[in-house]
Amino acid sequence: MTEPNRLGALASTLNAAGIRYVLIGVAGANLWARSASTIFTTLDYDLFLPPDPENELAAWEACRSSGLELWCGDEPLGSPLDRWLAEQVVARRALVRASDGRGLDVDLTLVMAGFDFDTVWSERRRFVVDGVEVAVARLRHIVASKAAAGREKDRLFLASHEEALRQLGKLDADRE
Amino acid sequence: MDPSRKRLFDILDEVRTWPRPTGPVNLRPEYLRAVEEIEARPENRSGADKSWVESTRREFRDLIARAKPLD
Repeated sequence: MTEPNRLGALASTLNAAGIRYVLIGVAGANLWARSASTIFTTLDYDLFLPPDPENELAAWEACRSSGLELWCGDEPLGSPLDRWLAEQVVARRALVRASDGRGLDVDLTLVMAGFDFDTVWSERRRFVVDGVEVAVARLRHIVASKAAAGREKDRLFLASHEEALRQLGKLDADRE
Repeated sequence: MDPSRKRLFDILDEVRTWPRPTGPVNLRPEYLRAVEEIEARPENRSGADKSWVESTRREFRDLIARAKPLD
């Protein structure tokens, strides 16, 4: 049985709470896909948040209300979830992972290589997934960030993505 | 284990030990132009319905979850 739309459900909760976030990473790039051939399998969603403790705290509460547990590294984020804890996490630019333990993993990141939040936020696109608006980073920002990070998985994505676009362009040219 | 499969695993183990490049990647101008073209397409305007992407991704995951080894 196909899993339900978890991205839409979470985005709906985040939107309702007025939380600023931008979907980045492979899941973000997928929303720019022209066809199924340029969709990449990914197990998680990366949400880029501003270095704002209030926003961070609100994002945690939204995740919790969606049934997700919060983790920092291998440890539960703990409680109470309060302003002080959010300030510590933001000051350290620490990554918090929200997970339902059944395959939905959402990384709440305060870092996007090569970019500050305001730049990505101001140029975001709003796409609709199953009736829910999702804030998505520009594709140029996603690929530039992956190029700046230069990890093995980023290199693999960039090479695969470029090849997929090349094949699409070739197909378009053949049709014309 | 099937000998051909063992040989494949041996090759993969060897590849795993190879040095892997890290650090910033220079993106080719052709690639960046293709990315800009994608962003400018009508189907990628704000408000575009992307439900098909998530449903496709979910189908992929569902398919993978049901995969079983041959032996």
